[in-house]
Amino acid sequence: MTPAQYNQCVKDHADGIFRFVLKSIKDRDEAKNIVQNTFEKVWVRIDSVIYEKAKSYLFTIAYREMIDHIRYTKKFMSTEQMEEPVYKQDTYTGTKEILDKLVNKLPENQKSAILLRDYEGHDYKTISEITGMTEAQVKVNIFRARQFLKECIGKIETLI
Amino acid sequence: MKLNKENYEFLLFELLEGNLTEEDANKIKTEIEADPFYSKEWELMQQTILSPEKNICMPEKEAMLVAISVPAYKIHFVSVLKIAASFVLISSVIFYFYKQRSDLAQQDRTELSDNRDPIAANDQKINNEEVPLIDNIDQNKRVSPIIPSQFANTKHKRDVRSTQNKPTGIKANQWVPFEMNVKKVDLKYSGSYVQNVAKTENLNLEYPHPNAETEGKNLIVKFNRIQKTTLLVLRDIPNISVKMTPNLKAKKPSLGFELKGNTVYANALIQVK
Repeated sequence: MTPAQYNQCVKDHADGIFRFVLKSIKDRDEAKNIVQNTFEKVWVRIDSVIYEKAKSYLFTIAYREMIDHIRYTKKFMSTEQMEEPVYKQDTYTGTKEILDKLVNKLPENQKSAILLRDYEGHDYKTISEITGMTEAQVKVNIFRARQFLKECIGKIETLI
Repeated sequence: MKLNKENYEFLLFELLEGNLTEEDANKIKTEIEADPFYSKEWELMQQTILSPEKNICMPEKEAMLVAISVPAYKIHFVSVLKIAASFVLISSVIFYFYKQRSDLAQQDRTELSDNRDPIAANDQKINNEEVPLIDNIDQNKRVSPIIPSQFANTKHKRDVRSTQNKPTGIKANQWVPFEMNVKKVDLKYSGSYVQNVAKTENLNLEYPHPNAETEGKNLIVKFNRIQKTTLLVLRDIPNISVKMTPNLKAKKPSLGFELKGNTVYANALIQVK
């Protein structure tokens, strides 16, 4: 990959990676750091990176950085501090907002899988390469995530 | 494939993910429309699709871009290359036309020379040489001629006239018959004593055999050399005329000499090998 292609990758994928990471860890500064670290690592290995496969490579690095960050954070933070209340503080504004908050309730694997699937449009194979899961596991995680979201949305609509 | 309470969640998921064939998808959709429960489930399932928030962007993204430094010579390389190419092109065109012109001029000279040569050229050469003619010879050793004052300081004058009239209808590479009148006319210093120191008249060169173009040219050159030598030998003999009759068409080309003078009369036939 050439420096010019690297710059093109920054322009094309930095926002998507940032959204994906931010959605997962809910920390803007950390998400920014992870994206910067991701591109820094790509820059170091620029000669060995193929431009056509740069997108999945970037998401793979970002995903691993993100997992490292989550594991590191979990060591020093209690579960209560990490959880973000969904229904208690916010009022209902629409299905999209509710969905965004429900996604945070998903287990990490399911969240990553469905975010990569819906946000970036990756297929199962690419998601499996990024997350290190098998394609079957990716599919199951996405299925379970959608089931969870469907049930939650159904319950909310019933309450409303 | 039919929806039931056990598989509907999986099939709705497959339909949402686009994993079903078109035929199966149509069947499932038909069943969904027919059953309110499945319709409701399908509606909820469709709402699980997350849409990315395009308004969320990476802050300070521009700071991650690397500066691509391009050397100055690369920036100007194309411009320099264009200028160099233009220069080379223009030079080539100029050189081409100059060469063409030069070649044409050379060709003209060659044609002219071929038509007049070798005798004319050689004679021209002879004329250009500093041949000690009679007026350059020490006058004390000679019988002092009475030189009219009007001719006393007049330089030796030569009049070399060449005529070449190409007949029409001559094919290419064909020897053109020509007649070369070589007149070497010296000044008449007096009315009777010094006249026509050496005069070659009507050196009629007939064109040689068509198949012996080079040979014919060589012969003419040789004849011309003979003529030159003859003129040099006879330069001090007053009142002598030389008539040379070359015969190039003969099987054995020859050059006939006829000398006429007050004290000399000779003729000879020189065969040139």
